[in-house]
Amino acid sequence: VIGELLVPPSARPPGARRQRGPLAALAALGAVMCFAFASVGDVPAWTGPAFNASGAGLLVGALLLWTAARVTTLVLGVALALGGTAGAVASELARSDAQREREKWLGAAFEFTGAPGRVLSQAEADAVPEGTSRDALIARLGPPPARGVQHIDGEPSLRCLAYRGENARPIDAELHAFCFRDGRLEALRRW
Amino acid sequence: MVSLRRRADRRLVAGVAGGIADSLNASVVFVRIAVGLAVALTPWAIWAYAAAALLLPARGERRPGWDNLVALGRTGLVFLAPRLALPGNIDPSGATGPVGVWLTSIGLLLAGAVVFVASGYAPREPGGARRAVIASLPAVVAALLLSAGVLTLDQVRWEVYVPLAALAGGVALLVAARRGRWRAYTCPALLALAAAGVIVASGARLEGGVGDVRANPAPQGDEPAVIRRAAGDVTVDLARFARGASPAALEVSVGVGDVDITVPRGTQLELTARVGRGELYTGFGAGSEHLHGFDLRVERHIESRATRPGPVKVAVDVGLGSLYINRGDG
Repeated sequence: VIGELLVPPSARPPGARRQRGPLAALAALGAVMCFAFASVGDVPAWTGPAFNASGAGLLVGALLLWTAARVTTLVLGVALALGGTAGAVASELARSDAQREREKWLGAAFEFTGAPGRVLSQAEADAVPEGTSRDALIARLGPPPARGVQHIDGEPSLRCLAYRGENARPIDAELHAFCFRDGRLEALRRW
Repeated sequence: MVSLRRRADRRLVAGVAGGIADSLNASVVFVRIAVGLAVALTPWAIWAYAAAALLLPARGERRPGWDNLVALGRTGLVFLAPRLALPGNIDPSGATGPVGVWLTSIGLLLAGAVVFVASGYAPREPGGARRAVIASLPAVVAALLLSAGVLTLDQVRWEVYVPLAALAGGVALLVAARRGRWRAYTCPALLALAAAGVIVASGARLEGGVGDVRANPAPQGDEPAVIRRAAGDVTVDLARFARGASPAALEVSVGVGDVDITVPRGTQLELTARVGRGELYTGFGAGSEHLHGFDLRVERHIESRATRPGPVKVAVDVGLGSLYINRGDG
């Protein structure tokens, strides 16, 4: 069986490539798809290089699966193809998680209290640490001009305090919304 | 496994996929599909393919030769000519404009594609690659000179010289046909004529240099503000026009590329726009228009609760590409 397995598809006539032929073809197509995926989407940042590395592994693995006539090179080819597949699957899972995280934020509704409120720069808003309590935020930034609710897909909604941003325009108000879960700051959203 | 060489006959483009398949004793159809997918889906694959076309020797050769130049030229034709001839989002079902231009340009492109494939599959003639390179030189030199001129001399109306470059291609074709070896020369000449025909028919104004421009122009008194580009995208924000009290006019022309103009709310606008071939969109609420096809023209006076004393006159001319006019915030 080993001897039969070591005859590479490249040394066989068309139509009699045996098991290694389709595997090599699948690995080659997988490599092309990995290179394509590397150029679309960039979150998380490591997935682009990871897709490229996986594609390179699959491509070399495909070549070795197609041509290797020795046990060591065949094993190396199988290892590269499996490693490339694992890398591609891990990268795609990470991208799916990031996508789900982005899409979980649903709509939000704010009610303006009539208070003028402080106008915040982006740096001032970013400087508020996660976990800050609602009272500590009001003590730090003053009474908010707007309060509201941020809805999240599959999770309880967050209560938010919102301050106007520096780029606010009459028809396109910019809001920095500090959203709390159990009284502690969990997320800063911009509208 | 035999050493990797390009095919010089029975090839679709440069013979790279065929050469890989021959070297690996693999199915050429499968390798072509894989290479085609890679080129379509991966930005750098076309450069890898072009490098292989230029550097891989043809089968039976020990080092790169004349046929590598032919292979590189074929690669360029396949990937560049359609981009020039078919810019933007063209949907023939809703196209307007002269039917003759459609038929001529698409017919020339199809004829060029047929001859292209036929010449790639023809048996290799001794010295044929060298003759093809030499016969193509007039068209190549004319195209290079034209490109260099458009790039460096931005005051010249280069569209006048496009028919001359096409004529050089035609002369190359005639010389080659006279010698009885028409296959290698007919395809580049047909595609060059198709591209030149589309540029001339679209009325593209090739003036103003190459590259993208972002502008926030101010009114120039009695004279219009002028922005010209032979090739590139132009993005204009008319916010400073909207704030001024004096008459304001803007002229924009782009030969090949897109124009995106943002008009602040409360601005009266007198718009005269033409797109030779491509897409035209004006986003003004209920009066929005979205056209695509040939020779698109719009003349409109847009007046909505104007806060500015007089109208802003905007004249836009796009040869091949798209024009988007959007209303911005006040």
